[in-house]
Amino acid sequence: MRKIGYIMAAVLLTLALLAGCGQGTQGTQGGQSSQSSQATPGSSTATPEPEAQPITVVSREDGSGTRGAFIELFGIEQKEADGTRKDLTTKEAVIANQTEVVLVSVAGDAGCIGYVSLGSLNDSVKAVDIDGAAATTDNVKSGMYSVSRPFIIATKGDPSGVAADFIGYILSAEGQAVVQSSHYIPLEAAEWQSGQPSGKITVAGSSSVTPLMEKLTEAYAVVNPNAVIEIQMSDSSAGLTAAIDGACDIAMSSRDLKETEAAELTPVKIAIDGIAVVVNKDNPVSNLTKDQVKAIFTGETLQWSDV
Amino acid sequence: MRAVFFLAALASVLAVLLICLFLFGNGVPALLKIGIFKFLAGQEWAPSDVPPLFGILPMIAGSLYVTACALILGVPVGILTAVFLARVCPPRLYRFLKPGVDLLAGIPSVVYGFFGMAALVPHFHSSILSAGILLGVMILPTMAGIAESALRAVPEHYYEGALALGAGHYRAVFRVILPAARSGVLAAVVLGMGRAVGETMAVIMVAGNQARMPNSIFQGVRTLTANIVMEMGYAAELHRGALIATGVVLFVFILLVNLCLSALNRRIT
Amino acid sequence: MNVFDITDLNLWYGKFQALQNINMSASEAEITALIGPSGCGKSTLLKTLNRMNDLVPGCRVTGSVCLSGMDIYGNLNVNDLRKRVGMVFQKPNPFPMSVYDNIAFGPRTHGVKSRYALDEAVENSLKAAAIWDEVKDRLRKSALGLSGGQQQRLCIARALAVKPEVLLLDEPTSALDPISTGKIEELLLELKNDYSIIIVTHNMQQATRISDQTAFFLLGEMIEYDSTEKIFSMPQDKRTEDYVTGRFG
Repeated sequence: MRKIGYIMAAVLLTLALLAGCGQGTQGTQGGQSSQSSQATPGSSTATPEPEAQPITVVSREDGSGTRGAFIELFGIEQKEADGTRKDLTTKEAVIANQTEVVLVSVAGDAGCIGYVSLGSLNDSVKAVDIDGAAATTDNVKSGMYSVSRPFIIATKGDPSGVAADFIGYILSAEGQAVVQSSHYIPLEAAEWQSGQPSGKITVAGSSSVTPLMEKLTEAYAVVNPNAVIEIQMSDSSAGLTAAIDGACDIAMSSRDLKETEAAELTPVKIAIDGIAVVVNKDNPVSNLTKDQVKAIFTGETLQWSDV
Repeated sequence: MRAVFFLAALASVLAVLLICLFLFGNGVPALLKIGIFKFLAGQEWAPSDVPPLFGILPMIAGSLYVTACALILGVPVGILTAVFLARVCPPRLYRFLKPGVDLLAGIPSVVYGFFGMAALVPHFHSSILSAGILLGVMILPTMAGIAESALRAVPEHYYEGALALGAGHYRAVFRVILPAARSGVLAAVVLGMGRAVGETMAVIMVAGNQARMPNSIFQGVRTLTANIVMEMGYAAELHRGALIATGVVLFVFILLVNLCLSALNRRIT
Repeated sequence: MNVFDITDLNLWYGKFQALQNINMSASEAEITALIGPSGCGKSTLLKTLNRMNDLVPGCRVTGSVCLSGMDIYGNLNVNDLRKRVGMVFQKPNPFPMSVYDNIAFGPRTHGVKSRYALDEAVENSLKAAAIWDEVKDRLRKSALGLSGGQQQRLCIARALAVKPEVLLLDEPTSALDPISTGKIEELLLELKNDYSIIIVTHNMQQATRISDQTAFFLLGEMIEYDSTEKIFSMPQDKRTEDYVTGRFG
């Protein structure tokens, strides 16, 4: 009798797990298929229509360069003449602490909206047009897509050794070619020859800049195998603070430097990146005005049906 | 030889002292500058605003709610698991079940976080409930392991005595053995609570991290630990001090919980 | 009517045979002592009478044991059997609870819920075990705070609280000092009027002091079973004689 009980419990548990996993993957695919759900008991076939859902806003943490640029570009940050500044992002916004987490969150929830670096955009989410302009690197370059910010690297004082050589590489034609092929907007290339210095440097900061930095490091290693470059991902503010403290050699930032930071560091612009406003692939919305985005992110608009 | 043992013991005490020194030394001045009442009872946390606001009440509430949820879900399951492993499970099943439970304890927090994002967030969204369920699962193996040891340590003659009076197996286990293992089980719960309060990585991924007072169990919250981790990297001066002061609050909180539970333990026995 | 009728009882722990062909009966209102050297099977036999041997893995029993005519290995509910046949162990084992909860455990197990009924049961059992006066002011305090002798009498009271027909005692005074031993022996002599008592003892003098019938065991066999007087003064079997005169032990 007891044995039967154990077997039944094991079977029930396995079924429940399968049902749960089935639901989960259906959720990310926005499953409308009724056939596949027959096999997994307990999972629903229809996910609620995105229009009927409340808007789930996903934002980045306070120190994120992407957030800093976003709230400035869309007017979500309120600046007064006397110097006071207030971030009006809605308090209900889910805070994701990395680019990846934003993508996974938006891909997994039909009513979600967020923002990520254009270069980090992938097929799991959909980027909406802003004021009629699609989020592509060409549109950023031409200026039609106005939501963009610079990628900046900063060093304490003038760079030297491996750091200087690496920065020179990034600004050269080869480096900017890597920028272009990684879906960012390159700048005017400068002349440069590698001095082949050896040594180890640390590059720390923005999670938006990190994918580009990784590609640049790989390409640079081919040109100068003597150098070892270590990349640490956190966010723009953390990276800049680390450079000021001397904990890293080069800081990565996806926003302009603040006055206090610019006082201690030497910035260098290395690329331009757009910020894509992303929604779930099942969301029928494909175009938003800047005002609509501001209303959503400040919590004025709460339902997709009101957009 | 004695000196070696003494030095080893001293090392732990020294570590605790240094941590206290760092926490209170850096946290208390910031606390005083912000104003203790404004800090502990303030409901707005906006360090990047000019002028900045440093109220951590939403985070205190967040930590409390998430821990409570985790305990409500995790403690009964943990204790029943322990009872099952110690006094019900046949030996053949034990050989598979026990390593399974132990394995759960060894899974890194980040993996739990990803599991939470994939399995819990689609259903319950980023909320207290998601974080509570995830933490409940995380503290389960710790609690079950310690509670099981405590149950096994109960002398067998209590069980025999209960049976000899005509009590059935389950009555003997729940009315005699479990109460006899009370202090061990309570220690297991305290440890579980400590882990739940201190857990950061997994919680950040499923709790939503909204820095405001929640109204329902389906809303997201930010815990004290999440607050520190998300902003410590770049915080300067007063902001940094405020985060260390958050650490002080955590420290005092855990201390209070431990004191309460040891008082409870003494009153029961 | 006999309280216990044991017929052709054999018991194995795995491959080891602990009891061989035991045939005996215990009567009402009597104290029966089981004596013999260590390892002779007397505790095993005692534990068979309330089926505590079921807890030992690999234990196998053949033959029949009847309580007031009913086979205890038949359709009888084990918990019901243990209610009717109480046991006191060698080492006092009060539960880590208050004195009151210890005594009330038995009645509560068997369905007594009313506070008044429990209070009465506790008081009567403690009085029957001659320990009421010593604990009446500390009923809510932990039972573990009592002395060894008091704890053992508490265990006797606990067993009496479920109103058994038979009381089994497994060397109840071997861990106690002479004064406590004396008190418990006195108690057993009083209790024999209301309960049948079967006591395993290593102490032959104790058997002569309190028991009416005595059974001598050796290596799993029951060698002789007769009135205590006869066993100790005129044993029939040489082995019995050797044991009671102390030639081996």
